[in-house]
Amino acid sequence: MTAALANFTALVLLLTITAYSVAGGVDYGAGIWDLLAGRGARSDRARELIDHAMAPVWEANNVWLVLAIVVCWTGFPLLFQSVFASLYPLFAVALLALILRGAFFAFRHVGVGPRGQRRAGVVFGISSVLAPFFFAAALGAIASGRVAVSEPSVPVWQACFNPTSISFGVVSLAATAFIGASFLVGDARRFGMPDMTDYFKRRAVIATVVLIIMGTIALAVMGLENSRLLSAMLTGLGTPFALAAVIFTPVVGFLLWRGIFLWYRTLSVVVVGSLVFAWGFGQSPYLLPRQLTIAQAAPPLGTEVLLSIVTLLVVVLVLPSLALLVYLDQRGALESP
Amino acid sequence: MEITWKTRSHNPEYIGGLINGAGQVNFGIAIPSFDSVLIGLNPNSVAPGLTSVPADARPSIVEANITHLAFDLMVGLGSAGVFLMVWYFVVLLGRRHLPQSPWFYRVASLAGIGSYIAIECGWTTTEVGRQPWIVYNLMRVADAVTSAPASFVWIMLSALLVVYVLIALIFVNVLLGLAARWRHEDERELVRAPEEGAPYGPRPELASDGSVSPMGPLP
Repeated sequence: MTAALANFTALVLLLTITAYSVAGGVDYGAGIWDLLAGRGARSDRARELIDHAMAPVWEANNVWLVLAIVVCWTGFPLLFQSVFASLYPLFAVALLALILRGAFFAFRHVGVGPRGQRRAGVVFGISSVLAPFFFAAALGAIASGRVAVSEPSVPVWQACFNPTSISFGVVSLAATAFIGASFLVGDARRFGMPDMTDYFKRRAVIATVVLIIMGTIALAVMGLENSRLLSAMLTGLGTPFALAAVIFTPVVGFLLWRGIFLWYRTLSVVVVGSLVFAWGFGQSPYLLPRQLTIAQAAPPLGTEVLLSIVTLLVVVLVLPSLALLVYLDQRGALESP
Repeated sequence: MEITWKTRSHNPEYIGGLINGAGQVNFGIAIPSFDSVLIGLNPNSVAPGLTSVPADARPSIVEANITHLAFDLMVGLGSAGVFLMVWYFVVLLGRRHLPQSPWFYRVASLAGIGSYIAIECGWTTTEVGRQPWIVYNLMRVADAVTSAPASFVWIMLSALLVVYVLIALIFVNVLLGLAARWRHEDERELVRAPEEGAPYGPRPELASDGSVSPMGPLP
C-alpha cells in the first residue's frame, strides 16, 4: 500500500514538474523572445503581441511550482531536505528571478514613459532567462548524482555547477525558447498578425535547430561525465520519452518551416513533456540516483493517504480552472469588448 | 498571549502591561477574573501560567511581552474594525444613506493600513509565542538551522530586502504615475476604465496593423 502510494506521489510530482515546464515554458519562452527582440518598429510589435498573449495567464503557471514544492515536502520530506541543503544557491537565483519577472512584467505593462517600459522589459526578459535555467540546472544536479541524502557530501558549488547541471540548464533554455516561439506563432495567427506569424515562425525554426544541437551536446556531456546516467536514460523506462523528443523536435521545426499550421503546438508540448519524462523515468526508481529510492523516501502511511486526497482535490479544483483559463484565453474570450 | 506567571483560577485579563523576571505585571489595565471567564466562561477556570512549562521550553520574558502586546494590538485593531463596521451599518440602516461624517472616511482609510498591521501582529503572536520551538514540542529553532553558511543567509536576506524595497518603490511610483494619467484624462473627459492596461484587467483590442498601442496615448 505504502509503496503504491509512494509511486503515485512520485508520479504526481513528475507530472507537476512537467506541467510547470510546459505551461511555464510557454511563458518564460515569450520572455526570452521579448529579451531577444532588440529595438525598432518590428520589435515593438513583437513585444505588443507577447504582452497581449501573456497578460491573461500572468503568473498563473506558478501554481504548478507551488504544487511541486508542497508535494515534494509532504510526500518526500527527505528528498526536499537533501535537494535544498545541496542546491540552495540555484533555487535562490531562480526564486529571485521569479519575483523580479512577475513584478516587472506588470511594471512594463503600466510603466510610465517608453524608457521606463524598456528598462522594466529588460529586467523581465533577463529574469525569464534565469528562472528556467536555474530550475532545470537543479534537476540536472540531481541527475548527476551529486545531491547527497540529507546533508551535502560534496561542496555546494560543485553540486550546483557541474557539466550535467549546466547542460540541463542550457537545454531547458533552448526548449523554452522553442515552445515559447511555437505558441507565439499560434497567438499571432489568432490575433490576425501575419507579419508576426512569419516573425515567430522563423524564430521557432531557429529554436528547433538550437534545441537539437544543444540536446546532442548535452547527451555527449552526460555520456562523458556520467555514462551510467546516460545509459539509464536511454535503456530504462525513460527510453520511449527520449525517443519521442528526438523524433518530434524536428517534426515541429519542419511543420513551421513549411508553414503547415497543424499540430505544431501539441507536438511542442509533447517534446518538452518528453524531455522531462525522459529524465524522471530515466532515474526511477531513484529520487536521488543510487542514493535514495522512492520507497526509502516515502513518509508514513497517514501522510501518504492525506497527500493523495489533497492531490485528488487539486485535480478536481485546480485543473478545471486552469484549463478553463487556457481555453478562454485561446478562444479569445478574455478580450475586452 | 496572556502574561500569566503562575497557574491559577480567577485569572485577570491584562490589557497592555509588561511582565518582569519576577512574574510581576507592571502597567496595563487588569480586568479581574476575565481571562478565566474567556477560557471557560467561568471565573473558576484555571489558566495555565508561564511557570507551568520548564524555563528552557517557554518564551523568555522579552518574548512573552512581545507576544502579549502584539496580540493586544491585533485584537484592538480588529475591535476597531468591528466598531467601524457597526458605525457604517447603523448609519446605513437608520438613515438610508452612507455616513456623512468626514471622520468615518478618515478612519475607514486608516483601516486599510490597520488591517495589515493586525495581520503582522497576528504573525508576531504565533511566531514569537512559539519560541523556542519551530515545531511545537518536536523541534527547537536552534536544531532547525540550515547547514548553509551564515554569509549566504545574510546575502540572501539582503538581496530579498533590496529586491522588495525596489519593487515597492517602483510600485508606488507607477501607481502615482497612473493616478496622474487618469486624472489628466478625466479632465479631458476621456474617461477610461481604470482596469484598462493593467494585468488581470480586460485587454484592449489589438489592431492588426499595429497602429493602436494597448497603452493608449500617454499624457
